[in-house]
Amino acid sequence: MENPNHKLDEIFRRRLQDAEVAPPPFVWPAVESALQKRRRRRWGMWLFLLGTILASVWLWQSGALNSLRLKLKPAAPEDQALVTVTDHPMPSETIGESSLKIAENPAAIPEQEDVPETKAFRATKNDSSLKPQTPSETGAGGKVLSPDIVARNQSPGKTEFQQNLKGDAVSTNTPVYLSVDPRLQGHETQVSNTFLTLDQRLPIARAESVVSESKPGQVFAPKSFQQHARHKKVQPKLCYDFTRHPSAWLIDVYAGPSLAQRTLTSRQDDEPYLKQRLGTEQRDLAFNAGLRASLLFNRNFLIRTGLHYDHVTEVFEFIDPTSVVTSINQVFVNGQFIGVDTVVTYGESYQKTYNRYGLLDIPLMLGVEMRQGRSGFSVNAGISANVLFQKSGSMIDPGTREPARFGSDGTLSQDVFRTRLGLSAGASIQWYWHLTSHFRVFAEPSFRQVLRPVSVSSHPVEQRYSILGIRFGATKIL
Amino acid sequence: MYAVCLRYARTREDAADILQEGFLKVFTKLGQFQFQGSFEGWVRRVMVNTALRAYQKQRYDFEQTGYERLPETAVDPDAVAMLSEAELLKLVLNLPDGYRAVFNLVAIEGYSHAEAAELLGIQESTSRSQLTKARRHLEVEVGKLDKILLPD
Repeated sequence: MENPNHKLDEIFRRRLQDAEVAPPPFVWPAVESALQKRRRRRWGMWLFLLGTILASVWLWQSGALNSLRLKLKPAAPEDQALVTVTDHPMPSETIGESSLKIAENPAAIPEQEDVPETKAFRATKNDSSLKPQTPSETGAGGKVLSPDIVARNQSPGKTEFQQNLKGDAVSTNTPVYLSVDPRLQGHETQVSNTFLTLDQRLPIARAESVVSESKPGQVFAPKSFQQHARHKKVQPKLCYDFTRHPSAWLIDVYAGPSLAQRTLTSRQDDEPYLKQRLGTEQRDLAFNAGLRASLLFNRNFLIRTGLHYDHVTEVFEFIDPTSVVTSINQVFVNGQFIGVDTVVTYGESYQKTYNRYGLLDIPLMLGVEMRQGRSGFSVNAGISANVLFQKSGSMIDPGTREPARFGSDGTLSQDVFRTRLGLSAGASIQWYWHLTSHFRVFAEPSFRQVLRPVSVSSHPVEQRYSILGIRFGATKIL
Repeated sequence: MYAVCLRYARTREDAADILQEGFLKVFTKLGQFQFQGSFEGWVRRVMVNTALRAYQKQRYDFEQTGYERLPETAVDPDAVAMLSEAELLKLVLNLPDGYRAVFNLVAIEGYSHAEAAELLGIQESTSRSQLTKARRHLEVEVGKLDKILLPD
């Protein structure tokens, strides 16, 4: 005899396997909208990434440019030499000494009107035939070489001096302060001071001057300087000069993973409830992020403040092995009500919820910073005040002992969490590395202890948090 | 595909959600289609998997009282064949969750009990038991309709 069950299966399979039912009209717009949202989210992610890269490049470039910029301004005499470009008849042997004296005493720079009208010479790339011009003839972008230099270079027996100047024009009688690359200072001992101050340092600062040939006793600048200037670009300063600037503002942006340690202890000897909480909630991912401003003072000390956010996720899992679902169906025959069909189903219900806690704080920390070349570290400690405590998720209700929600759509029978968390104590150790003089990146392991419990005192379980994390970020030195 | 979703879902709203989620997966994972077998079959598998995932989120291991004591009844297959697709679908929809999932996978989709058990995360014996109970449930329901359609 044919198995009627298989016949029944066959009928259902034949009729339903390829059955078509038109879906509700709202489904397709919903699919389209969800796809658009995903596409926008993907675009947003790429734009954010691109923006971050561009911002990083801009920060790096701005820092690099700052250290590369030729400083045509008065500066500390120990780092800079003064070059006075003039056609005063000065013995060449005294130029260096007088320039140094002026550098030590900027007030000694002669006034413009004290100097006779000068003639300037325009010099172009590899142009050895310099012609006299008045300053007005040189134009704003002209490369001007003082007649003093030209006169000495064109005098018989002197080396032909090919001037290859670029950049800002140096007008006559203009005191010019030029930075001296500290790496080249060792070379100064190879030649006398006499011409070094004027003739050597100008090419170094310009990084373009070339001495075409040199003879003993007729060298205006050491060959090694010229080669260095010709073949090697001047490297940007890669470390902020905290010696010269003992105080500065630092802006940090950071983010990183965290490990939140939760402690639950029973307050009212309600061990069964504590066990329920411990058995249903487990630690999950956590992260931190922040924006921080730091004031560096006395070269090594820091006061830090800003906004810090900690996000803690936990998983709530609840299995009810004694779930009972009762469904009552009315039964009609030929449109006439004949009775009620009650179906009782016993089973197991499973609920999984991600509990999320968000802590926004304003920290106030003190730090000490130590440096070694381009890298260094700082030790920081202080407190933070909680300004926002967000929470959402599910937990066992202490009253009903059933799962209930907490947060904005809370269904708990009583309050569990405090509105604000109060103070936290924290400490961190930051290791940093300068990419440029004004921009550095860092890694900063940190620890934070929320001083008071996050749960209210009436809750049978005391809930506390300590958060261990690591921050990866970047610092801009203003 | 909506009919596939309807067979696995508890309600029409759930079926619409499953259809939406399933098509989102189809569109976003279209590159994973290996061109082995029919495209329709691939989309159907995506829908079935989506429906099963939705089912597992709120899983009930049903034990239905009452039907256990029912005697074996032979349903007239012709009576079932007279029913429209909508009525058959309604019968499947009215099955309890556990029975419906097994009946859909084994009786309609043609999966073996071992495959169905693996997909649903249950024992193979449970799958067999639930299919038997699902059939009995359907027989009872068809019997009711039979009385309505063919009154004495």
